[in-house]
Amino acid sequence: MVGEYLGSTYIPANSSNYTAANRPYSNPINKIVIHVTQGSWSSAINWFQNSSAQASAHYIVRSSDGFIGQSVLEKNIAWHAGNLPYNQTSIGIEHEGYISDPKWFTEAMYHSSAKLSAYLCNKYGIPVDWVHIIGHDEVPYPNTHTDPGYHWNWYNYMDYVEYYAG
Amino acid sequence: MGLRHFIVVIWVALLVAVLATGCGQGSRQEQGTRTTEDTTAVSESQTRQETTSEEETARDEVPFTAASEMSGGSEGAADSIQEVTFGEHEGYERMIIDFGSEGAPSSRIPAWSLSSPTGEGYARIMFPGVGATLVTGETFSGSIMDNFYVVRAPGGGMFVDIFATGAFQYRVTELSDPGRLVIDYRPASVDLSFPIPARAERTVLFQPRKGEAITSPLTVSGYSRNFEASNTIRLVDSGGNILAQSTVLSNDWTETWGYFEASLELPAFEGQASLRVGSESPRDGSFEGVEVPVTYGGGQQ
Repeated sequence: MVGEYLGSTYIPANSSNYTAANRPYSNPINKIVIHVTQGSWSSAINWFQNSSAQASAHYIVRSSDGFIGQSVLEKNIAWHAGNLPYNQTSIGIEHEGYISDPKWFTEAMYHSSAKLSAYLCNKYGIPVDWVHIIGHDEVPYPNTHTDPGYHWNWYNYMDYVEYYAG
Repeated sequence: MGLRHFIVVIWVALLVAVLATGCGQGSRQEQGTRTTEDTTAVSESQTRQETTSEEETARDEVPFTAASEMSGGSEGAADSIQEVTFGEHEGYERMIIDFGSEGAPSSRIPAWSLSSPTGEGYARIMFPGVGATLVTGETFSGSIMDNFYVVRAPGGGMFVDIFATGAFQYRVTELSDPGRLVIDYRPASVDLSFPIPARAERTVLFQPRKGEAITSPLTVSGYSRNFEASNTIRLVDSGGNILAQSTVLSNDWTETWGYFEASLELPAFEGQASLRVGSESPRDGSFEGVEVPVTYGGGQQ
């Protein structure tokens, strides 16, 4: 199935793992939250299809080639930030890999994810800056997650997003 | 197809089925096993509910034991867990683990070692050569076998924890063609020495146990399926104040249960405190996990 973002594939998460909504009409979309899966691309996609997961993200970017899977439609509220207001107003992008191992963060993945973020920024009027494109670790309490971690190259990533946003 | 041709085909199929059944029974008897393998099984997702006849149940002869350790299997014989079957029998309950090799059912059992710590309500079966599983856990409907978890082991391979509802004896039987490990539990008339590990929907806490007097540094271990493998550990006093806190990643969460272990420095505290281990819900940030009461037992200050 084709995803909303050109070139992505839609592999729907189980409807128990997100909140149906009608964004941006029901809630504004004004942030992008960057995640790292701590697991493989396929296993994350698969787990989001299981009702036991009680978690999801809108998009998941594959490490080897930057391929993008979509688990939750952008209008719906994915459960990824661990903070209700942030979930309601953000798009969550997972990146295949482990925060302790930088080899997962390939150039293919950075470029593909940056193009996706640029598309989302243009589509929803999200400013391309460090306030509106944030790491999961920047989501406030009660969130305690530490991804994407210190191996994630924010400077390059934000440069790429700016470039692709035009 | 003509009627005569059809009848010949049916006869050949029946003959092959009879021969296959006979060969299967012969191979099992060569191992000296007595099992309920031929019983009717009803598939329920990955875990089957097994049924059996009184006659087959009576054939079991392998003695039950409370031994703390046991091992068997063959190195490299299988690389995955394919299915788990549960069955209730007269006087005992049974769990059967089916294995796979390179995606197909395996005819043999991989190397395994079982540990059943005295006075604790579980047995752990370690499979060093198993790296994948189609089954991650299930709650049983029995009275002595409670549930099981398939966990990615910290040093490689996987282990399966089979929890009991109380003290138990067990026995293990190996089958081949297909490779199956049969674990039976029956109740034992003694009390457990330790509380059974605390369990919640996505977190199992092995250390510490409920009511334990903890010391600093405190080792906290268990396994979970929390979002992005992230586990929060918080020691909270009776007034709700956080005495110590840490975050640790488990080694899996998307494929099966992931093991975690952390060391937590504790301040001295009086009275009872609560150790909360789990994760914030990715949905709304609410705490999801286990909570065990603990007291302070001293330590390095």
